[in-house]
Amino acid sequence: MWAYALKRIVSAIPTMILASVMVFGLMRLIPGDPAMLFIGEIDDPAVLEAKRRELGLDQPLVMQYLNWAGGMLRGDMGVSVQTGRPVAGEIAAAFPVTAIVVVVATALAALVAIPAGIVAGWKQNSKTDATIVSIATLCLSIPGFWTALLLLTFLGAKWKLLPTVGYVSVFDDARAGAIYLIMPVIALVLTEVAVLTRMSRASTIEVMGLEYVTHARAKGMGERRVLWRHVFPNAFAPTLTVLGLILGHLLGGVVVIEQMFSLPGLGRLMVGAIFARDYAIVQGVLIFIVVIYVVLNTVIDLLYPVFDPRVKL
Amino acid sequence: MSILNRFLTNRLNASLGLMLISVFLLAAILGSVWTPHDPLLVNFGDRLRPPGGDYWLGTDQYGRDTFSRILVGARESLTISSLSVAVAVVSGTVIGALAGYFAGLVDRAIGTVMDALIAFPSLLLALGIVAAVGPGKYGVIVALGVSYAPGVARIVRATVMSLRGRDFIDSARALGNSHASTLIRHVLPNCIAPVAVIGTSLFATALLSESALAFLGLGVPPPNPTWGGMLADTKQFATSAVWLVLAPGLAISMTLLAVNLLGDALRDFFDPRMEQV
Repeated sequence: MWAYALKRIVSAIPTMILASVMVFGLMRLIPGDPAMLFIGEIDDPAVLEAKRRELGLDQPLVMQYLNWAGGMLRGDMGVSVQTGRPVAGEIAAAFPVTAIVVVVATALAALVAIPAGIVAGWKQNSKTDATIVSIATLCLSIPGFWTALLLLTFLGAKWKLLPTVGYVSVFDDARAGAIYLIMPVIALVLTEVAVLTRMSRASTIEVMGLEYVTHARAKGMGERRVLWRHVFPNAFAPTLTVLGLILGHLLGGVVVIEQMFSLPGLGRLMVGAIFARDYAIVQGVLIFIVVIYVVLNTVIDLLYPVFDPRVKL
Repeated sequence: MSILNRFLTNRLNASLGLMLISVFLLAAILGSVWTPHDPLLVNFGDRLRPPGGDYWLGTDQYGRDTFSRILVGARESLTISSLSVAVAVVSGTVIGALAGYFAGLVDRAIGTVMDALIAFPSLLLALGIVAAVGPGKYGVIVALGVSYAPGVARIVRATVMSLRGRDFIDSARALGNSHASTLIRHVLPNCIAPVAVIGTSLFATALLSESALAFLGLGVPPPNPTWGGMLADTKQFATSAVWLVLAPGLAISMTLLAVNLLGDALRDFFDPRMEQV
């Protein structure tokens, strides 16, 4: 078990290194001299040269990468061109906003979708099943940003039920903070509920067809008990692995949603930085999210045997 | 036609999906040859007209006809999504087939690169690429194509791996076929079904991401209409002119629904054991 865990964790390291090379290379594809962005309008070769030296741009590309990656490891992600503040600080300020939205959305998706999928799979081909599957397929076809726009237009602007702009952290004021989260979370969660429902239905159906379920029924065990005792525990583990996929969707989707609801999270930070050509921020946010995503996926992998006792490591 | 028949019998979702997608394809074709009004024509005299009369789906804040813009947007959105899927499918198939066929070191090397690409949430990778190569049609196609390629590669690799050492592959080699011809004539045809299934579901994802990028202002630059861009352009008028929110959003949703239905049916058709995910 521990050997496997260690191996799994170590195997994530080359992935991260290569991903960081990609982020670094991506930003170097951009035409133009990054130093120009800092000095702005000043048209003086000497100033430019000094800035280039200060930023380390006069060194070979490999050295530049190593300096940059070394800085990352020490928590030094460079400085934002827009604000002049350290990138790490900007990310630290934005992260809790994104984290709350994503965590609440994931929890809500799991709470709604897993039971819905199990019921649909249990009653396969019934009316209930058909209804759940139809709703899921429909939800899968509605883009989150459109849901967001509809919510803002109707719940927000027309009926004035919920505030359309502004943000209060739930840590400062739980009630007000929760109110600001309602629309973003709904917009974000519908698609994921659909994905998770379909997955949990599929794995339920698979388990329902296995011999031990037939056996349990044959010996006269009640249907409910069969479901709880045999179907649920075995259908749950495969559903768990989809959580990694869902996290990826959410971390992407949240970018658009934050923009819509003007939530000061990572997505808004990054999109703003793209428009402002503030590449230190773009790089920083990308790397930060990749690290989080890889770590969470590793944790999910390691949790798998905990939920599926058949898997022995 | 017999395959199509077999595919459509007893598959209500397939017929429905195929019908819906044909409607949008026709709209896209129609949009490239004829529109009731000039989709780019600014006419302040007719701004924010509700649907009806001369303007079937109303007009936006510049007096541009929504229906005409939806038609032209269909062409833009569908072209960009299909080209990004094409980029992903072609590059993913080549990469996956090489990894699966040669295995060993080639596979390890390719696998490491693919793992690193998969470590990015796909929309974020696309955003990063668009930031680097610049917004616009081709930027979006490259960005989406690259971010979806690893998914295709993974599936093709698995399929090809399962074929290694099978008699028909070994005999193809023994008969003196080169690696290239064995790959193309004997290995790749077996990948068509899984690639078709993932390609369809990627098309839905691509359409969604293309709209999202356009919505963020990182897609095709205005005034050219895309469905996502239309939503972004007109969102501040949403409360007084709901048709501006409903029309492009419904167009995106209906297309997504069509593709999702078709994708489920395809999966079902090619692999009845595999339940829809």
